[in-house]
Amino acid sequence: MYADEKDLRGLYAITLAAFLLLSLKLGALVQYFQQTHHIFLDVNPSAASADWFHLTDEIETARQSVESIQLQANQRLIKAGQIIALGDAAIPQPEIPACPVANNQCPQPIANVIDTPIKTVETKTETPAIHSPTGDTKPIDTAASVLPMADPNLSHLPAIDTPIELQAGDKVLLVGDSMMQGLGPHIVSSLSRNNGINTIDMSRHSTGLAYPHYYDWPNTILQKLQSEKINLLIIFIGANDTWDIVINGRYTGFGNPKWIEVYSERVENIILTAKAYNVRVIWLGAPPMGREKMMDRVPVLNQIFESAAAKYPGVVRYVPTASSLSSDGKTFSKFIELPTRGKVMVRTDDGVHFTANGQRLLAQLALSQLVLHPFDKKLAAKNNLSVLSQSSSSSMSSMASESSASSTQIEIQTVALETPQAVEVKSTAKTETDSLPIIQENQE
Amino acid sequence: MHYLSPEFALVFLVFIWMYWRAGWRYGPGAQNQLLLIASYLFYFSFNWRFALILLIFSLVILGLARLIPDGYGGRRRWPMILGVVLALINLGIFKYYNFFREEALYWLSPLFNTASLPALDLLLPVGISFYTFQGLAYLISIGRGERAPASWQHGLLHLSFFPTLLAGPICRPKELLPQIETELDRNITAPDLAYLLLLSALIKKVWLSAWLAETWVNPVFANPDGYHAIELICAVMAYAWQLFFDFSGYTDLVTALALFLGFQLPRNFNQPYLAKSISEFWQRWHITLSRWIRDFVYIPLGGNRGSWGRTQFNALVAMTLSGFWHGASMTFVIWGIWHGVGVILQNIWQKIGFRLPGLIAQIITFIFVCIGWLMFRAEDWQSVELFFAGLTDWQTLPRLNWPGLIVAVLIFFWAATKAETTINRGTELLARWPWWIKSILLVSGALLVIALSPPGMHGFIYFGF
Repeated sequence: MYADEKDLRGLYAITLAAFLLLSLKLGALVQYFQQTHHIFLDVNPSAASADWFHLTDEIETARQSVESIQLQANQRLIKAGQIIALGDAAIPQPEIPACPVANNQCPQPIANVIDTPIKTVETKTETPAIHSPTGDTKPIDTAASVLPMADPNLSHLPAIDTPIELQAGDKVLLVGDSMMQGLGPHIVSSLSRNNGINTIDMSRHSTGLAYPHYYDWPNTILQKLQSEKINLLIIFIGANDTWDIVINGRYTGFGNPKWIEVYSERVENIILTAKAYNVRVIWLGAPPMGREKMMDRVPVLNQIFESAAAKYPGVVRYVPTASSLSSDGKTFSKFIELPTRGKVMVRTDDGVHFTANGQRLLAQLALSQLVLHPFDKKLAAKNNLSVLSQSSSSSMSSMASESSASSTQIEIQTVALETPQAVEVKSTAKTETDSLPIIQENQE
Repeated sequence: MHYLSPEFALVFLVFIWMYWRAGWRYGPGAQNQLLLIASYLFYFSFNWRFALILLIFSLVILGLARLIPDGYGGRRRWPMILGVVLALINLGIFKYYNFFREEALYWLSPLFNTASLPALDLLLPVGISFYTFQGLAYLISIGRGERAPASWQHGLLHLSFFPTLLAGPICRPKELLPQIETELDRNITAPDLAYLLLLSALIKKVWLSAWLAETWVNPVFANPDGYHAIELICAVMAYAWQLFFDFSGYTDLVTALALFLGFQLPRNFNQPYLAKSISEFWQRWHITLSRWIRDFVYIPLGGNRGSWGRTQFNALVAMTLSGFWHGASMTFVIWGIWHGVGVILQNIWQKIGFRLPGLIAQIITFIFVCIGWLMFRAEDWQSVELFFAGLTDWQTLPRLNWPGLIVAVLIFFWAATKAETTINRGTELLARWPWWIKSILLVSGALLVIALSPPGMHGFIYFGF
């Protein structure tokens, strides 16, 4: 029997298509295989020149201009949508602080205030200084807008992990991979519902710090912090980082000194960015994994996270997750024992991700790091403090030493779920000292 | 190894050359052997236990089916009943055990403090719901005398045929088995249709479904009380289309794969959102599941042969079971009931003799289906309530491009009315061109889709069922 002419042409067509696609996308393919199967290490190809075909600069510029046109159209449509939905209320009112002519003590723009070195740090009043709608202004409590490490006069203070307090209207940024995508929604909804805090969930699956040319977290975070006032950054990564990375166009095996050096640099890069923008960071350690290749490697990542965090106390708090998700606090366990519900499945079959129960436990762990205040959405709406709109009025957390004493009574919000005995909710009140708390200022 | 992964593409390419060379040389028998080996290796690549479970399941079903003819022209009933029971127990253990365990504990705990059921560490074999239903259809059709039992090899391939293994279409024995058993040479009967289906799969799955998920569905469903009511409504519509693109894109892909192997698979989707009633929706959405439920649940219950009231009851039961098939969770059950109630309402409506203009009927059906999807997506009932509560929020500043989404949805509806003719004309047009132009078109299409779509590999929603 002979080959059918038509069948043969069909096979030719599909084969040629496959080869064309392969040659055009070889670089992406090599990277994909490297990332998923951990191969090519022995071959050690030059990763940079793997594409047979490169986009010329002209095509790249054209692509970028198309993209910017798209972006612009998108922005305009968003604006149009806001106006259709809300009418005039959607048009942002320019916030010009009314300044009585008779009194020359008008507050300077807040941005300038931050740079002014301030000697006294104690807040005088507990009431946040907000421009009252009637027009009479109080001088802004300058002390409240100063961060300890931003002030050279305070550098002698011991660096101690200070409580992370958030107020209604504050913004939290979530960064991470598919693990974060699992618990992000729980954090987002709890913070928004109970505390009136906005959360931006930027987590994205298949990302990490190992492949910056695939997804560049340090840069993405920098851009986000530049464009928006963020108060807290919660990071949860590692599921895609137990592989070799490309250094100077060569693959370097996981765990090599060089590997650790480069990876630590990327971790610290993020921390430094956060520090520069006065953003506190909660770095969640990666949980024990149920997959062979990842099992032994995750502790290496956690070691890096932990030691990087130790270098910047008061900026980063490293929070290990193993104790919440594992019966012995070290090895992978799919089920854990909860006091009231007995054995509960916390991990999914893939040995990496979490069940809804596991996600809630982790969200609870993250939220238990924070000092939060209950928030009533209706009450806030009444006071015209729309926290969910972007033009949110600035709220200040002026928490000085005298008020921090009272924060021991502040209700610590937790997710409505039983705490496993393994998780010891770290009471923020315990870690409090008389040292300076983080004082933050929304400057919108 | 997923169907849209580079690994699969490379292996499949090598495989089809082997497959066709074997066919040209030795005929379809050799191709069947290759297909059987490839199917099990493919499943093995997920987890060797899955392959073992499938093998045992298939052998039990096929063995019982062979016991049905009694040798005197009659049929025994017990092998069929035993097979159905065993298959359902198998599915129940893997898919529903932990659900029942947690529900039972939840309800028992106030009564018995020490209530405890062992937690089983079970891995849900991917595709088990699909091959269980395919196996049951085979067993029952032999029990009903519609066909004779297949040989072991053909039967094994019927239940493991790799394009349909993970998420259907759920084939009937009369559709797939004759194509396996054929002694005639196979042909790639419609290569041009296969190219278009490949392209359609990429557009739907890699681009549209992923785009809707990333920009609308995931952020809004994660935090419904942070969005304006209009955004919530848009997100539900986006989810409706995401589901359709995801699942029908997948179906297009496996249909194309089967075509390259010389097989034709039954149709699974027919522009469901153009439906003008709930029952019409189910004749257009996941068609192979709907007709399975119709033939093996609804009709055996009595179908519409009894009283009017009995018919409604049967419809409700069938729909509820269909919901439960989708997942071991109360939200899926409620979703099934929702559609059951929808069918009953529609029947009452018809009984009264009330008729609506087509467009309005279509819009009402779409809204009804969308509310259903809300439950389908939700993790628990609380999040459904939260979503509905969010619909009263008309004060929050919208942050997403909702006018853009509405335009996109209108385009999707318009495209749905044109899809059929576009595919037909496209195939005619392609047929006139030399093969290498088709390759270039395919590659350009693929590159365009890759450039437009968000990065990363996206899983298939329906693999979870």
